[in-house]
Amino acid sequence: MSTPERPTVVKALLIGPSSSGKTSLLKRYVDDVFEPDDTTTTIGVDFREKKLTINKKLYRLLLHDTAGQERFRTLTSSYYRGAHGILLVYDISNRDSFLSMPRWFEEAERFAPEGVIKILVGNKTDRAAQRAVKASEGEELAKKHGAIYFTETSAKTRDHAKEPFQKLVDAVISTPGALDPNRAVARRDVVDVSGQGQAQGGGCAC
Amino acid sequence: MNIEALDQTVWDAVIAGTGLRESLLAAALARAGKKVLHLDRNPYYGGEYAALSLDELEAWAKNARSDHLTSVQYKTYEAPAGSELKKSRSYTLSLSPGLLYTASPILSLLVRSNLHESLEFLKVGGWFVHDVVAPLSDPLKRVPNSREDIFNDKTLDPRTKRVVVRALKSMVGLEGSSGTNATSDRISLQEYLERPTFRLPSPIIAAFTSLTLRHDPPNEISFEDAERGVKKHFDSLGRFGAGFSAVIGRYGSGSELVQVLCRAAAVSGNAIYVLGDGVVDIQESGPVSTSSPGLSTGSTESNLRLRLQSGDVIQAQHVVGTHPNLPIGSHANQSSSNSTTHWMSLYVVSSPLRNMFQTDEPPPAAGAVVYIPAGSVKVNDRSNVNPIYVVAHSSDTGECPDGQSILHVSMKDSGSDESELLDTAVDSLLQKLASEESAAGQILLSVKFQTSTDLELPAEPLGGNVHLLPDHVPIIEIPDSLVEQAVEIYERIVGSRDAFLEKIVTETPEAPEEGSG
Repeated sequence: MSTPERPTVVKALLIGPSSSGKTSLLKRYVDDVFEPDDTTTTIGVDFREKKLTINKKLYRLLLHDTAGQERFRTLTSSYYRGAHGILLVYDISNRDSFLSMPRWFEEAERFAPEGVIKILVGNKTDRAAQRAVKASEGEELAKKHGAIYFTETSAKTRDHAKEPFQKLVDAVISTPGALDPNRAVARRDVVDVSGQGQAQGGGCAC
Repeated sequence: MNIEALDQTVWDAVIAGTGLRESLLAAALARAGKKVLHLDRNPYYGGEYAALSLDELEAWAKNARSDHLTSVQYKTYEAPAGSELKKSRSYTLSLSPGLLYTASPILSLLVRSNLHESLEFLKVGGWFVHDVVAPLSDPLKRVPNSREDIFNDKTLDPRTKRVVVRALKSMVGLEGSSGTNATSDRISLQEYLERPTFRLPSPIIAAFTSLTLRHDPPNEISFEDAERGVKKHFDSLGRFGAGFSAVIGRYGSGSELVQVLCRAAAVSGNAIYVLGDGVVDIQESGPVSTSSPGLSTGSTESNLRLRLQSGDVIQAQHVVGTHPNLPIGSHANQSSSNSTTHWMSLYVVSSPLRNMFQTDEPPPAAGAVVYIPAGSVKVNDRSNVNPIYVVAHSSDTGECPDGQSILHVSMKDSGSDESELLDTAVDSLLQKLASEESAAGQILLSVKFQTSTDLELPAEPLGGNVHLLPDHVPIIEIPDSLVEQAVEIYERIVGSRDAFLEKIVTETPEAPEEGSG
């Protein structure tokens, strides 16, 4: 039999203003939980991972969160390296949150690889009474900035919460060139500095 | 952590500047559970390791003036359509090449801390000697990396081959034995290699010198220093694959390293990042009153009151930074007789320079080092008093568009204005490579400056809780000593140097509220 298939890595990022519920969405998608009192900024992990099988092919979806660096708009350009897809998340109950989105699109445009798949998400539909952004406005913004999909979600009530992630993965694996290995996390010309994948003996050859 | 406002926390450490040492420290402190506010005056990360777009670099050149940075010149050149400079954002340009030997403690620290996976390191393949006065048809001379290389070298006669191997063994040592004998003390590298037992000719001495990465001619490099450099080269060789001793990080080497460290600090949940802000005033504020709720200091130590450029006034236990980033007294130490001035220049050239990046084993290298001996570059009647190093980065680094390359040129200043020698050195190198490659390259951009710092010079300890880092401008290598500088301050703050950067304290438990009210 052949060696076990190595999953294809898909790297996705969440960006957007603080308190838009990026981490809640992520947790809902990966763990199917919602922590109502957890208002702190994202901490602890560099990325969350989800294994997926689509059309009998294995994928490792790596989801990177902002680690609070969105708060003062100090995300590093290296955060965007090798990303295949980006979820841009705002809070539908907060007008300013929505108004800041063009700047997040610009930042993604500037630092992410060319051809990155973008999806716009209006989160917190559970706060219907406080709604400050119409769905049609989100729709329009998504079109204007080349996001391939727009949806409104609630991480709290699960409303459409998994949809943006599924759409993102579908788009990445079905768009020609979107998984271009040159932009992927692993490159063949990269030196393994952990010294693990090394066959040759080291040391001075003289 | 409560981060509603910067002034509602007593920060364990405020770090001004996001250079490599500051970022190592921020990540290590944050991982150890300390609350860190990390600032940079610039709107970008990296300080002396920053990597910039063309527009950012031009702005940097306009504003960069300090005690240790002078004569900054930014110049672009006309080029035929198709080979000209591309749009600003297709460049990620560092001011230094960010070379790391594979034996560097920085790399092993990154691996131990599990941060290496966020970085991509590429090979620095060849070391070359470029003698400008040699006939143009002569190829660049590759410095042999092993005994096999030396014996396969067709330009050496059998006697020379044996002597070179012997000289190398005497410096590098074999099977742990130190090759150096006491009589080599206080002589120069050149004197050592010209001794009757070796009697090596100057082209070979140049090859040895190139491995030291030192900016003095071989008769001014002490044998001890040279031996250390050559040893380091051979210690590093073969560590992560055959045929190379050094690596560079993709996208600006040090800059990417800094960003990964800062993200690690943020990911720990204990560090907050603010760019475009700095510390403008530091006052001792005495012990913090415990009356305000939510403030837990954990100690009765007196705190510092810091005023930021943004107007915020915050409290901190410790503050860390270089002199230019902290508002403290005069800077008597700088420009002392100990400091050395270097000319540095960054070039974007319109050639992929493929010959320089070829390696015996795949994958191809993305970096190369060229050593140009003293006296071999001439402008009018003047020639270079000191050797010149050219470190090349290919477009595989992601730092420039395909078809172009980046050259980092450095030379120790000899006192007279020799900056035009750098352009001449680059032109002659491009000429030489053009004779082997179809396309001739030309300079598209140059950013030249003079820098005078001495990394070895320890900063005056200020005592108390203000920790001053010595000024530092990287030239070729990312120096090993940066780790130690960060660890020393870490020890002063945490009280131990154990597991620096490796320890991850995820959540600091809330102090139980006792006796309040």
